Amino acid sequence: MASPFSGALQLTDLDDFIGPSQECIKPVKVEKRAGSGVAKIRIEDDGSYFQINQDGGTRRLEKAKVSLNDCLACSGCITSAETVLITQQSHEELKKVLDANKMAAPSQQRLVVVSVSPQSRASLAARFQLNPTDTARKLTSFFKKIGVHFVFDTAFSRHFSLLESQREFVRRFRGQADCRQALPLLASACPGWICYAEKTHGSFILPHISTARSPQQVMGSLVKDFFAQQQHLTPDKIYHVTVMPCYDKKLEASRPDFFNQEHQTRDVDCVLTTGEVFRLLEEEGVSLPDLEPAPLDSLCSGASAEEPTSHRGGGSGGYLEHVFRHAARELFGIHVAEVTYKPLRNKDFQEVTLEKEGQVLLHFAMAYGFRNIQNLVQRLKRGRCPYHYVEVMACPSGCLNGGGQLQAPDRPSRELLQHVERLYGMVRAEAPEDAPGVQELYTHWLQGTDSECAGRLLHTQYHAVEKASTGLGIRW
Amino acid sequence: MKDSLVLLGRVPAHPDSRCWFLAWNPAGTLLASCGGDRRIRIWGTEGDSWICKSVLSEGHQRTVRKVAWSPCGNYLASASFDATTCIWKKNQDDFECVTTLEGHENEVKSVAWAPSGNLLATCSRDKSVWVWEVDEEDEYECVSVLNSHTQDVKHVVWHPSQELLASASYDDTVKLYREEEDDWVCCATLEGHESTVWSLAFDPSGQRLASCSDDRTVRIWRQYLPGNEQAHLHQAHSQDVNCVAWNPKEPGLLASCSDDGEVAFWKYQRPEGL
Repeated sequence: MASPFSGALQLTDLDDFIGPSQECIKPVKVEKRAGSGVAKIRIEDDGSYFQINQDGGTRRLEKAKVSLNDCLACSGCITSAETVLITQQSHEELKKVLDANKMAAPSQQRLVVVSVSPQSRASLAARFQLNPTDTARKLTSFFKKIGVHFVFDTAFSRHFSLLESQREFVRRFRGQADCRQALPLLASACPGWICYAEKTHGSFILPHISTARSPQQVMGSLVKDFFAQQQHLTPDKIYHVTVMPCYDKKLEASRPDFFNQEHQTRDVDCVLTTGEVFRLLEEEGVSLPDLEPAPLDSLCSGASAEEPTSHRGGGSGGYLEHVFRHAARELFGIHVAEVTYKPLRNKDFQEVTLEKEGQVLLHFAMAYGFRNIQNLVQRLKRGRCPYHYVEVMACPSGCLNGGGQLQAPDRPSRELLQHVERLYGMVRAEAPEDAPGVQELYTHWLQGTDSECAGRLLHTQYHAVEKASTGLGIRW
Repeated sequence: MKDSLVLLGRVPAHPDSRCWFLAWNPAGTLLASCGGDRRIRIWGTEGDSWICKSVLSEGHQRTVRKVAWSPCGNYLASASFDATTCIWKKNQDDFECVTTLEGHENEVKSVAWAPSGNLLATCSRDKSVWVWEVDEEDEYECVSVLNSHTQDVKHVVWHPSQELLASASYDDTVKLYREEEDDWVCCATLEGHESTVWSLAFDPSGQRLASCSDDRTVRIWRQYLPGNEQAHLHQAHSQDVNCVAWNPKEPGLLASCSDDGEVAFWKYQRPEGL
């Protein structure tokens, strides 16, 4: 079966992130039989094993089996990392948690929160021929019907990712003289790109990657820290599910950096792809368009719950556009109304420049897809990268085209993508600086914009991954 | 009189290791060899004997598996188990490494220049085929990364006149690729071999592709374009035609049978020129 993970992750080999363990913990039950020890084992032509007892009798030996379920506990030498990730984070897992909640005593129940990404919502909207607002409201209705307590939109946590990225760029641009590795700054929201960078280019590229957390992981902080406090719960009492357009986000959620040691809980417990939510709807026998729309939940009372909001700058979050416009204003006092993109060798590689009196003040680019990431990284290595900031995404055409989005076999994929892009773009864009609730959270939850809290909850670190050189890792 | 092979000369090209591959330059004046000693040697004649004209070392950290001359003869590409491909530029008798193509995850098994000289393809044990483009300033950029094969890719070869690329793999298939809009796509998969396909070669006209395999067969492939029907029999039978069978010994003898209970025998003659 072709791997559902992005091209970048397929090439880097997931098994190096979730390594095979040397010892299998599965105990094999051996029935003790009467009689003294030594027996011979004969191997038949068909590969089956027969034990020949001392009295000449034979007994067919059972094969020791290690099933997928056995391997959920350990990182798995038999099962591959991919299989572990996909089964540990699946809609079946969510159903198990919801069922357990129904049976459990109130003190044992977990608060189930689902955070939906705008890209997944757009994909579902296209499939069910609904507008984004109705899709959001009906999805909320569906999740609550099956036992979920709150349904949030990751566009809210994206405000923080964008603001932190903007601030980080301006700080690094100003500090260029002191630090050779300050620029270019590379976007960090795409886990396919991050894992590829950690594995392949290690210590060389990592200093260039923005430390701002992705919207998924900011939501992890919001739900398991801020929201948990509000609900008077410890983080392990919340089961946080996100709905994302790709499988790579499952790997992101399982990063040790996003595991809360104190409470032994992940910031994001389970990532479901858009396709998995679709399957969940089918299995529950629910037709999304037929549901009554429910009011939208929001993380803070100040925020509008009438309709979902989004950001300008394309379907992958708008990092380039936000960092560019903010930098133009902060560094040069220039207000940029519309950002003009110039396509280069292919449509997934485009650049943007800010010029004044013939001088180039800012030179930014977006590089989507593995081949463009390759070229960018090689240019960086040779010191020939002319950009100050690059929005890097592993999937050609960006997140709206992620590997977990819904396919339509009866429609040309290009036409479907354009439809999804249109639906995504229909949602009202909001500037992160003006979004209700954001500033209050910086003040009251994070104790300021450059505080230690903000650094801990809104930023992360990267680690160069050594290539596994043991024979166990090679798949012939 | 029986044909004979007369030995002209023998040289210790890659001492204490294996010589993996040879390539004559387009002009036929030089032979490049590469091997397990991580070096590439260029051989030419001096009078009656073959001598080593230059040694290209310092390019690779591991075995050099294949070398390929560019169509113009001024460049040599070398594919190595160290996961890189070096491009060497010829300057009279000297060769200088002008760039190293990185990106493959592990051993590069083959490299090939497109007939235009602007494109290069590499393939690797990492199951991928990469297409590179070179510009006027000798800058190389990756144009596409193709992940169609499910196992180690052993060989890549370009069509002699079209921008069509073929690859052979441990997954028992041959795949063909062409450019569509702004990316390369796999446009065909040739199945039939029962084991690793080791190598490929197009005939000079480009109409036929030969593949050889660990299954001890050589297969010849030909492209059939839509509308390639060569003959059409209307009303061959009065009802459904159930079966057709070519006679194994007599060329052109065809039998067909039908729901009408009849068996018909046909003689097929190929039109002139095919």
